Amino acid sequence: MISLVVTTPDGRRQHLQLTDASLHIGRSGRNDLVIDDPTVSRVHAEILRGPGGHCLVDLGARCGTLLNGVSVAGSVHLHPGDRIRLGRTTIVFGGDTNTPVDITPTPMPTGPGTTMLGPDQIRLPALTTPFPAVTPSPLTTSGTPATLAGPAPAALRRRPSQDAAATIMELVLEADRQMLFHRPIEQILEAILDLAGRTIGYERAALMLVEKGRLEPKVVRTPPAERGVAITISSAIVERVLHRRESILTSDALRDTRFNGHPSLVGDHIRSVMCVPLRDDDKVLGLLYVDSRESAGLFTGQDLRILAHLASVAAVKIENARLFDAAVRTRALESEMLQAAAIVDHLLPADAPAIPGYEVFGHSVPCRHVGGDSYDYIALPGGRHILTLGDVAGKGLPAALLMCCFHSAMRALAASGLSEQETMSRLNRLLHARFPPNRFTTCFFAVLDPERHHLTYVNAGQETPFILRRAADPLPLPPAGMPLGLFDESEYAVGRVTMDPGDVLLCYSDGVTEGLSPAEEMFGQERLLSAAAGAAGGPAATIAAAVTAALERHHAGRPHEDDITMLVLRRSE
Amino acid sequence: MKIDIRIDRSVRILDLHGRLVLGPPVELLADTVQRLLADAHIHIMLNLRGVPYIDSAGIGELAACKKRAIERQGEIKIHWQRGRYHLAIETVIHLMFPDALFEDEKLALSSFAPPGGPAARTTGTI
Repeated sequence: MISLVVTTPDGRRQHLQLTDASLHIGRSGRNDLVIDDPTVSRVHAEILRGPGGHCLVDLGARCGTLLNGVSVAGSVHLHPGDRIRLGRTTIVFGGDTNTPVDITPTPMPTGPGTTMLGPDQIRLPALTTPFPAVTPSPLTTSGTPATLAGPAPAALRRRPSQDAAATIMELVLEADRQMLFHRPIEQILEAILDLAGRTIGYERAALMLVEKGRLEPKVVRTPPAERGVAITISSAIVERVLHRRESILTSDALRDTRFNGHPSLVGDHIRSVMCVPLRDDDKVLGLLYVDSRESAGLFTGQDLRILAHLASVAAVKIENARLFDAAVRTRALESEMLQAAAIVDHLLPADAPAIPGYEVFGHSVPCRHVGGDSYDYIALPGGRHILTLGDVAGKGLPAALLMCCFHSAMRALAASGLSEQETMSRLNRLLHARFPPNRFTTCFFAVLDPERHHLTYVNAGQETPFILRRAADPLPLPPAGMPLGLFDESEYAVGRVTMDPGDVLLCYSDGVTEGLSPAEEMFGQERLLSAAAGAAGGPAATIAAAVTAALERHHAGRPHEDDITMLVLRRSE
Repeated sequence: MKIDIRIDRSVRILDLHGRLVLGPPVELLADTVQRLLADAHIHIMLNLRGVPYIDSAGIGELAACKKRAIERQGEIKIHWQRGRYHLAIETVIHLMFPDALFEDEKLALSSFAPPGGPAARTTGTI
């Protein structure tokens, strides 16, 4: 059963099997194969199965139908690997048939039969200079179906009577038209070989791009009978094209005894070869290779200049398409990051709990889309509340992923009625089992009993929180236990303070105290305490706002380099 | 971040220069220590006196170095200057290396298990 691979202008690929004797193709819903491409006619073409195999018939499409880059007039036979172009849609008949390209270690053919043009020597012929021209018109010869299906022999497309200037203009205009609009890079590569085939004519062609330091064949065109038979290119030619950025032409190699040592030319009975770099400024993206075995189809110096020019235009378009694709991928990534940010933001509590005699305020600002800082409030039986502030090591998405793990584990354990010490020990073991070896989270974990005004806490490596008091120095609650997730067995000391009227618990992540000024001076605890003390008589949100304002003044426009998180608990007067 | 390596009998002394922070500095430390452990150099001293700042990723990597050394029956000792980093970082370092923090290099070197190889001093740079 014959398969078809349909590639639409948006790059989507569809694989289907030819089962019926006839397949109508077009934009209209009445077709067997409906193609959503405005450049395809409503009723465009038909593939027919007959006694001699499959044929392609153009049904009078406005934009015409191309087979292997050649316009289809009437009916032509199809062969596996043939490429059908309907507008900007490509259909590969019989699926992709890969033809390899071998780079053989043979020396560079040199002599009168060889032309090499340096990167600065590529000039299109003057528009007023006549030269043997070619035409992009469809084949009109009465060749066999096999000939019609493959790239036409170069000789058939040469029209010495045509004006060179018109050909060049046609090439430039066609290149502009083909390269003007964005399309998937695979289609650009196909269009380049189509254009080269219609302008210069070749028997075989290969477009290869440098990827990860290797030259990879992207589009290979051969006559139908040679599908799958490797094209062999001299490594010396490849080296000169890629590294010296030269455009190379060998003409009538078979008659030149100097080429007897070149199996890649003699063995394949090749008379003429052109190989040009795909060059965008000083960057060589790959090469374009064409050859011919037709004695009447020998390439000329003018052909070389035209091919080199086409390759230059194509290289710019390929580079632009790559940049465009990269921009699209970046946009998609940014969109995903925004969604991730919304999810992470949703994990943080939207509202502070109503705790009689207390008010709580928390906020977190990641320095990137998402971050590893978090805070949480968890209600316990008897009116008690857990308050936590965590800071996962690292930044961005990796830290945010681990923060989600920490957040979920904390919620699950907090509801299990364990002591503060046991909660942290189990949380540590759980995170140690799941975090990578160099990852951890610091955590300040506190349970507020609003009836007794007791704040019982564990500080697992978190930046020292403070209790701000009206008539006393700030009381530090320094770390007394390892950050969570670092080592399997860690011990956690439990502390307890009594919250007096007006007392403020100020927790923060290191993004606050380590915030840098333009002179790279850290914000530090002194500025933090000074800003908080100035607002300590006000609501919790005002205290946090005062610290944030002081920090912003300290930053003086310098971007934040770390997530900034604060949790403020204040006992009413 | 630059790391100079000195050798004192069985001990590889890593002199760290620069901020030990997320990214290439942490990766360099990880690679260097892993390479030494893979070559069976299991006695490693990290000299942090040239490190003005350590962030949480740096702390994480110090912990990872210790874990990797323990897995190979090795030891990591820290030669540092107390009071250089802020409280939370120093507290965590204390907790991670309770018996392996030294302000004197000779004391740090003598705290390793007795050397098996001949005395030698050479230098190199990464």
